[in-house]
Amino acid sequence: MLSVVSNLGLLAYFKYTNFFLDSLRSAFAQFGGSLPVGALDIILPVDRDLVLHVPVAGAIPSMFTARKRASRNFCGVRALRQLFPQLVAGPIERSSHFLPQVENPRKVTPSGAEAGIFLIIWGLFKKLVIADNAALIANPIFEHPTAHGASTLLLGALAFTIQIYGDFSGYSDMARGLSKLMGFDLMINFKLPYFAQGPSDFWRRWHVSLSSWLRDYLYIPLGGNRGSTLKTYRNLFLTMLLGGLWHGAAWNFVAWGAYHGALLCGARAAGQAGVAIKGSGKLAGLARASLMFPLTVIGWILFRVGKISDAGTFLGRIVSGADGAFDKAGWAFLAALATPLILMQILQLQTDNLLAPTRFRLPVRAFIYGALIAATVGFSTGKTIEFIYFQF
Amino acid sequence: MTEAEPETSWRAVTQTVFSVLAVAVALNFVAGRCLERYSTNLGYRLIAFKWRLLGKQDKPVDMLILGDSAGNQGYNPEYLRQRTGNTGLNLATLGNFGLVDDAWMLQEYVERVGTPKRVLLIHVYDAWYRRPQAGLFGVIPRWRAQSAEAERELRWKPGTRYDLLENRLLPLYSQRQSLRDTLEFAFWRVVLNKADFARFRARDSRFPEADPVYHADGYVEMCGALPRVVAADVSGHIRWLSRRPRPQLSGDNVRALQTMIRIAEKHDITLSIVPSPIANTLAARREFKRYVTGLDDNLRRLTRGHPKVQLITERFQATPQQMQNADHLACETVPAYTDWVAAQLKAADEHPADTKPPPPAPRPSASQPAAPRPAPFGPEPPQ
Repeated sequence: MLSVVSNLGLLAYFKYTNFFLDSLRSAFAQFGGSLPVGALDIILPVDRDLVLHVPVAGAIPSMFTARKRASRNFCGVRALRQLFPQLVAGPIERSSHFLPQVENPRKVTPSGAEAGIFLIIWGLFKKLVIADNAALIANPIFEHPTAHGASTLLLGALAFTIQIYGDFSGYSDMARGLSKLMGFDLMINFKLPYFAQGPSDFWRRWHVSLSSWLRDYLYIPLGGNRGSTLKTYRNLFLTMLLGGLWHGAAWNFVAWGAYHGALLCGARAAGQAGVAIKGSGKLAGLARASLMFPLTVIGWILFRVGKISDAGTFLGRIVSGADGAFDKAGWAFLAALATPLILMQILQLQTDNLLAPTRFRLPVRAFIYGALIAATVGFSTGKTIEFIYFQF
Repeated sequence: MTEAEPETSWRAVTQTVFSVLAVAVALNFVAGRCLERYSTNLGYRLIAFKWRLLGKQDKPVDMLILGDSAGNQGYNPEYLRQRTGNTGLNLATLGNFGLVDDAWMLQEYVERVGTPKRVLLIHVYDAWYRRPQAGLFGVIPRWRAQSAEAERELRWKPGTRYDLLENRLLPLYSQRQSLRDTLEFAFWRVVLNKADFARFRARDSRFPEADPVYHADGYVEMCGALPRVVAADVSGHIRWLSRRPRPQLSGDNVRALQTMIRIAEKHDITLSIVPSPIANTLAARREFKRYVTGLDDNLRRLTRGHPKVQLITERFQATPQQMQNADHLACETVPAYTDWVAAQLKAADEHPADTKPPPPAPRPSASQPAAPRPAPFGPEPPQ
């Protein structure tokens, strides 16, 4: 209990104090008053979120689930807290998964090394080539949404959709690959999320370590789906709302969380009302994925805009088909960036194996890896573009 | 969705690592070759093109053209052949080499191909001042350009030679930006239609506004006048000139010129030093006139007493509508410049300069101490 309270307290102080002060100040101003407290100069500790989430994840099981006693292995918890590959942006590792790896003799296996090599090369490519180049398309469009027509805004939204996936999953892959080379196994964080067939499926595939954390330590303790239908909706919505707030102390993240909460509730309601796309065949799956993907893109617009009001402008101009030049070059560039990603994901989907390329014969594997390295060097932007999740 | 690690052994992992490295190294060399031929960095491409062209020569031409990019795109040997029947080869590269690569090229040409009747050395006035830019030597496809000898002769800073080797051997790493630009350029060319592509390259300064045409005799055809660029460039020249009231020659250039004179005299080659064309808007400026008068005096002192050297001090002036910048002609005006050079050389042949012994050479710039050193640029070529 002490660990949970102290760690969450630190998180609340470092991350959200100024956000709530700003919001309070705005609320006071609405009624003609003023808050006599300015913004605090808070110096953030190294990676406040993940360093704090991880021990909370280690402490909570003993409180709520009685599945495991809180660990008394101080060195193990320190190692879990500060394992450098996952320090910046996860995956948010569970003590139940990680501590046994520290406590027991660690073994670097050839299988793990082979997988690690692929994950590092592919992760680097996703970050430096796909995500960073997609950022070059998305950034100027999101900076001035009113300056662009519908097709260009759509291009920006899709570019950011690709950017955030390449950026974040690229980091996770590299973290996992490096850990494998050291004999650690970190949990899978992305399972082809853009092939998701519904909102709940999306959260089983996107940032799995966070969504499962939210499920286990927020949704289930709130009551999960054990109560009435209304309570289940409330729990879903609150969980996603807080998940959105976790991403950043800004209203657009809250809106993004609320949007995904609403999607989850809506999908559940549609399922109960029998209006969901039914069937287990490939065609039905494709139809569901085709419906979910644009909903995901809309969510990323909320996530990416600087101000919540921009989201309305952005979406409104797309829906109303605002006039503007068709950016043929931008679309071609985005298609070129998306192609290797799509091809790799189709391969992974077809083989049901995220490490599918490691199964190729040596010459094919060597050519693919070598080409990815050369392309990473040749096509990277040469600019320092921070990981998006670094800010969280 | 699962993640199934492959059943493998350490031996197989080792094989993977070395195979991937081998593929990456092979792709590195492919990238290097591509950059020599297709780079959007025209300077790098020009250097590689000229040195490879030099390597392909097997019989001497009548006139060998050396110098900088103004000579590269300003003098057309084919036009010379049509007018006079004399053969020519244009090996002019970049001003940022100063005269150093001119001296190296002449030395290699004489050693391996034979002796031309005349060497035409065309430089922009400010190239005489410049110290050779070390990074460019990494692009010269000759080991000599990255050798300890070059390091000693050109007084590179410690470590420069290794940087050059990196540039030479690891283009995938060291010329990453050029590679990216080149790939991007090729991509746009494929994806966009002609009109869109023209608009695209016009608004992106990384890409040349027009494709240069590389001729077999070394002339690189660059067409289309750019008067607005000329105007901006003239302003840049004036700023540069206003900071340098007195002309100076870099020590490297003085030594390189002395080497060229020595080779010319040894092999009975006429060495004609001709100024590059210049925009009339720059030529009319007081700062320019004062500077080039001093420069010509310095060059006159350096070349006096060497009967095989012709120093032309007249300057071909062109309007901004005939040029691509303040000292580079658009291809449409190249015949006029070539004719003008021919007339200047004819006049110089008919009225040779005086042959009095030379006075002491002018002091090189402060950054280049002028201590005499034996056999600059390596041993003399065999007779």
